[in-house]
Amino acid sequence: MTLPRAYEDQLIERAKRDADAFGELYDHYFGQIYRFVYSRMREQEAAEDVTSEVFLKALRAIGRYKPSGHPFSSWLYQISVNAIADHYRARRPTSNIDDAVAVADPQQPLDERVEQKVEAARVWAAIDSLPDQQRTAITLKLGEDLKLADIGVVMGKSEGAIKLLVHRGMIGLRTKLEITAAGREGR
Amino acid sequence: MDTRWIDPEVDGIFEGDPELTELAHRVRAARPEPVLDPRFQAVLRAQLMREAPAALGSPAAPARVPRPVHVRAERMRSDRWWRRPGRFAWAGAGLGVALAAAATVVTVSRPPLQDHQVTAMSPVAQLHAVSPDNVITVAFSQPMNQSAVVGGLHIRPATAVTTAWRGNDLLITPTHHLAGNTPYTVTIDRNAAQPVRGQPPTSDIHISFGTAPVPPSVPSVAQLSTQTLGPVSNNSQVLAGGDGTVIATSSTAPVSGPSPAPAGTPSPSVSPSPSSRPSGSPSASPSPTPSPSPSASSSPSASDSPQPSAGGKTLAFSANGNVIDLGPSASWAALSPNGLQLIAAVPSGSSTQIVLVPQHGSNRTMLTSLASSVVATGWLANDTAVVAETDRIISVDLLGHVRTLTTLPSGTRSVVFAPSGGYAFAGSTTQDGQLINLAGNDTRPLPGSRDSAAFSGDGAMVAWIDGTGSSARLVTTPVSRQAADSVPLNHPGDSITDLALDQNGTHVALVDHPQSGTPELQVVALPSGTVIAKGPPARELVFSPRGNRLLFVSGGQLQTAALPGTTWAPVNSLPDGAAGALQAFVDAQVSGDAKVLGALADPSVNAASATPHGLTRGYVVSNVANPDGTVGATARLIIDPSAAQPVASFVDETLTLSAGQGHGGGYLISALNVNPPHEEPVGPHVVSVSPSASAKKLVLRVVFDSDLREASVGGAISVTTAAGRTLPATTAYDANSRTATVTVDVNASTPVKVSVATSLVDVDGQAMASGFTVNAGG
Repeated sequence: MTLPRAYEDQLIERAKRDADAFGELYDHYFGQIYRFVYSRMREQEAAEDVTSEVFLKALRAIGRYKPSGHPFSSWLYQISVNAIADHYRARRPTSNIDDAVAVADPQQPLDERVEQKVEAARVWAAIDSLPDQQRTAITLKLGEDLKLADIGVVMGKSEGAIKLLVHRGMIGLRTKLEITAAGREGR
Repeated sequence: MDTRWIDPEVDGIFEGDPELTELAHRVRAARPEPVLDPRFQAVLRAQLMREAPAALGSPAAPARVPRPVHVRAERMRSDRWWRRPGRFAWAGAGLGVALAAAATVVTVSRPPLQDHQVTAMSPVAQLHAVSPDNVITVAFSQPMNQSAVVGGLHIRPATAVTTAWRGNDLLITPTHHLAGNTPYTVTIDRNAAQPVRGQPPTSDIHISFGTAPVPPSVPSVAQLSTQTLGPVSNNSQVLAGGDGTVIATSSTAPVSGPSPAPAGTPSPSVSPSPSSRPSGSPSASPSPTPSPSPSASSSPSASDSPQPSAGGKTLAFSANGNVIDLGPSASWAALSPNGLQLIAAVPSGSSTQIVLVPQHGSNRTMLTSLASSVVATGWLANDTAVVAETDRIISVDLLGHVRTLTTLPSGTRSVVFAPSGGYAFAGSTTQDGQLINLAGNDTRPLPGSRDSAAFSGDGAMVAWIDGTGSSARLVTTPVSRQAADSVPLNHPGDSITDLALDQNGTHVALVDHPQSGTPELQVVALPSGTVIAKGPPARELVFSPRGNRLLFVSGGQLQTAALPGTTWAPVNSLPDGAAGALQAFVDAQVSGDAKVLGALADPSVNAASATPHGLTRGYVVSNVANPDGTVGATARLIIDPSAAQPVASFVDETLTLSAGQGHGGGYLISALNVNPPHEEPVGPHVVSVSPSASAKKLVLRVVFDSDLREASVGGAISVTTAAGRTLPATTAYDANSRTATVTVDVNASTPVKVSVATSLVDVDGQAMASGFTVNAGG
């Protein structure tokens, strides 16, 4: 759901000096950003920490924000991607991001007893094991429905590069899911 | 596989590998449901608001923090600005500010979140433009006692719903869809939110959101029901104004309003209108293909642009049935963004006169005369028109000053201007059409387009038909960047003509010409491509700015049709221009546009300072033409509920509009009385009272925000004369539109008072908090 462009532009301009306007932007984008951050962190406490960092950074930087023709949400996602990376760097300075999340066991979803939730956990656990940039691109495309061009802005890459990341990531995901399925059947 | 989800970009990435496309659908369907402490959003917001004065450098901010303390606070923030509950508390974001004042560490504590304590969230929470068709999902963090939860469910305004469970998710489906442009709060009582194991939440669960000001969609294909406004010439263009006025640039309909004086020279008294565009502004530009031919390449060339018929005139068909003479037929015309004036290209021998025409037709002003023919007209802003000649685009200000903005690509045959200014489309029959940024003077091709395109009414989106492949397809993209979406039309072998987009680009109208058979007008929902309505062969398609009507020419007649699922409540017999000014004023209040408020109000009315801040929506409840020529109105302004304030705040106001004070003799707000904000009382509220059009008897439509107990409706509504004599009336209630239709046995023009008593009860058994009375009719 997007705000009307003209209205959002006005709101952003006001938010540079008016806390209420920033609050309105926060109200509108909180759910979107929290959902994205959570889908990358998969842990409530960490998602809260990172989301709070994202909006604090946005508050401090909005005075320098200049419309680029891309949605305002792209800017927030860009801050989010950096904040997630910072979070992992700070928390796990010696381990690889991929290693950190690949330990999730798709066979042991927490409370999901419904088949759909098992499927969800299995699919996203496999996504978690992809290289970071592929994971980010897939999460933004299939988790957040962003346009390729906007993902390009978030990740600082061309639209073609994003296409490639998503395509390669999905091929990797298919392989991982096939391996997982084969492993289950072999047990 | 989720067949309802269509993303052409994804299809493009995995083209040739359907397995990956299906996997993408699986991934999307399996998106993780985030676990969210329902208090987190509100508490973080509060922290940010404390931080804001320092971060934004507000003059009202407290004194800056002494350096040593500030450094310490910064370090704490960057280390863990947000503190998890259950540990102890978290340091306030306002540390930097608070420390300066108190010289002590300020912490904000909250009770620890217990293990297994249930939490809930909803994807619609805090959104302000949720579709009225939405199903409300409440996702719980653990399995719930389902009957207890449903038993403790309340929705405000009262809404009849059915509920279902999908795992831990509660799905709430409104029986009659949600009302548009309405703030909602879903509440689940704390004691009812019982998990199977674990502990209930410590407070009630509130989910607040608002709906978009759009009508709900309908599931099946409807046949458009048309109404004829009058005869038009073959080459007439059609325009839609914000107050329901429809303009035809060449019509022979009999005139029922005053005839205009001849166009004079540029008038020094003409002053620029506000530069911001109220939402009640003109709709998408009409198709640039005035030819009735079904061929997709039938646009006129620049050299054979339409010539008005000898007997026709430019006529305005007002919402109350008047036909107003706006002057000679024009080859092209466009309404200004604020809807108050028309820029018209009037052929005169071998030259073309560019004429400024106020909406009511009088005081026409010739701005300039051009030696060549004109391909299109439009507006950059309310004080600057744009005109496309065969080889260039020029701007013309209200004093007649002409400036070349850009030259057109060779081979240009048609030009379409975006309604909000800034962009133009230059079409060609032999190569891709070009999108021109008039401000930056840069162009980019729209692949597959030829000589026709349409802009959305807000000017943010452009659409075209790509007929270069074996099957025509509709393509849309934001004007600001190349991000084309291909919309499946499922018309293999057909040709498509006469394209129009609605205000926000959510619906498109087109004419489908099958290889054999009769052409058909179709209204298609975007981005799904679903056909929602069909009509007769037509051309010159235009959506009304409110998106509830489609205008077109069919069989030599200017026609209008209500779109399915909408309730067309035309403004009553207000004088022309009054309704548009009223709606534009309320819209400007909501958007906080002080310039527009100033332009639409008498200088004695300080509209900007009287309007509260933070409004999220507003609407006109009632309006009536007074015998003294003024217009009285009531409106409601709303601040949507939020996580911190789960009940909406209402501001009711009364307005008076007076004639002859606005630019060109239009209407201005001459008196404004804004009541203090108050919390939305429980029970049903009246959203609008409006007379129905073309009724001999007085028929009033009273629309409510809540689902009502039908049995309480008839007895609660009464109609009296101005002197208080009760008039006999019959009332019918339509639950689907939450509308009571009151038929009063008096002449349609009789002024009356409509009252709704507190005996009116909603489906939750809540009575109206206080009686409601308003003037109507007249």
